[in-house]
Amino acid sequence: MPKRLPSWATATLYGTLIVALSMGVRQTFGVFLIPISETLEIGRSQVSFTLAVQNLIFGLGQPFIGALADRRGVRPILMLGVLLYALGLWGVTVVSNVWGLLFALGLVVGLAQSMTTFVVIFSALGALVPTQRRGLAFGLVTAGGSLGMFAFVPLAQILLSMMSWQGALVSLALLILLILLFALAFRRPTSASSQAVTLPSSSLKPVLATAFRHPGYLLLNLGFFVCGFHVAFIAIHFPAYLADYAVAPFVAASALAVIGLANVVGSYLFGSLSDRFVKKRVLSGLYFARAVVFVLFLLVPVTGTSALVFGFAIGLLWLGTVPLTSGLVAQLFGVRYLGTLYGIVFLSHQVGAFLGAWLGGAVYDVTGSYLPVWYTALALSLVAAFIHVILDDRPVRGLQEQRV
Amino acid sequence: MTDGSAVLGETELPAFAQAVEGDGLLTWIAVVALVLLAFGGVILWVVWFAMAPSIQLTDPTWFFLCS
Repeated sequence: MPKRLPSWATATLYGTLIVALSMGVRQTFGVFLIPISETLEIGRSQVSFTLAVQNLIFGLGQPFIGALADRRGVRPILMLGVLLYALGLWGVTVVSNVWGLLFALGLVVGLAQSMTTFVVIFSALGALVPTQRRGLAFGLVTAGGSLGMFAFVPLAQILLSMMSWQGALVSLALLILLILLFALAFRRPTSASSQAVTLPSSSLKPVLATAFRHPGYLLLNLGFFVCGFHVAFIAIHFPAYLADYAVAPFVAASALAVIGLANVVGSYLFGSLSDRFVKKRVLSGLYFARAVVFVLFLLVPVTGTSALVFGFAIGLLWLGTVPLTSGLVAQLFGVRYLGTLYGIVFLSHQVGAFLGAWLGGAVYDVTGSYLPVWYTALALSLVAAFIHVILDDRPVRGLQEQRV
Repeated sequence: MTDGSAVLGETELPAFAQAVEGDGLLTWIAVVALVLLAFGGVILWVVWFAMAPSIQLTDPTWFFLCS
């Protein structure tokens, strides 16, 4: 019976749904690009720029939001994030120009996303989930995010076919408000329920100093940068790459859907593996597997079949990095400042994503081919595989011991 | 253990900064919602593809999928 679940499992379940809803709605904005552009009589590039700003705010906000969650607990962060999310989505339906859109969809929604996704939820779960279950819990939450991304795009499309885009967006805002129910369940423990000591807030500074001097932490940042590069390049440029080889648009769309679905399985799978094996080795193996997939895809003729097989293979390896990387951060520094430290690593991911998205287009414009970027992605895979082999993953003992 | 944390006494880590108050109804709602997302997602994709058999790659919708 669900009501008999241990608290860590309950928290994982709620966290999974929260991230599924938040990431799911986040994934739908492309669907609204054209209607928003037409209604506001602005160019698609201006709407795209707004979404780029949203992604930037989403990434830049993570370390700060993570720090707040570590210090104040996740409930107030989640509740404020949900309200901002819903308000921002509603705001998009009433703004009349690009500046209003930039504020509502770019700034407010971007900030709200950073308050309702992985970093905040991991901050809570890090403290609740037993170490031996942490990978599973983080993997399930990541899989939830993938599930939301997979399910919400067609939902938004169908909503758009049934009502105005404003109505569809407000419907999604109402769905986001559901998170409030689950956010309320997270609370600070009473002294009776916790035997641990909360560190003074000033302890963050030496932890950050230690982290930035720790080669393992810096390599983790580099590794997650590579993940962001891969994910953004493929998500944004894969359809156009297939189109260059005359692969039918329907097949290209299906390949992206396959990535989303396989990602759900992969996130859970790699989360589970991180509880059973040495995390850095699994992570190294994942990046090496990506390299193998890239090589095979580049060697075989580009057809609908190869696109679908590639989608499935790369989808399995898509966000499996999340539970492994966040788990390694927790392993190195403990969970007291997991939100902050993982937030910084997540920012590296977003920087990589920005470069993957931008370079893909820039290189294509200059060379007329995506191949140089594919080769770059392949080389980065091998670099990431190597750095996770040599990464020092021994727990920083001083930090671990002062926590409990 | 693979990460050595158990040595540091983390296995029985109590919630030092967070706790969760689960509720039977809320938990059921979460389970049902996730199941709906899983099965509903697949069905929605099928329905959507059926509604829009000719999907244009130039549609920026795809640019944001899976990112």
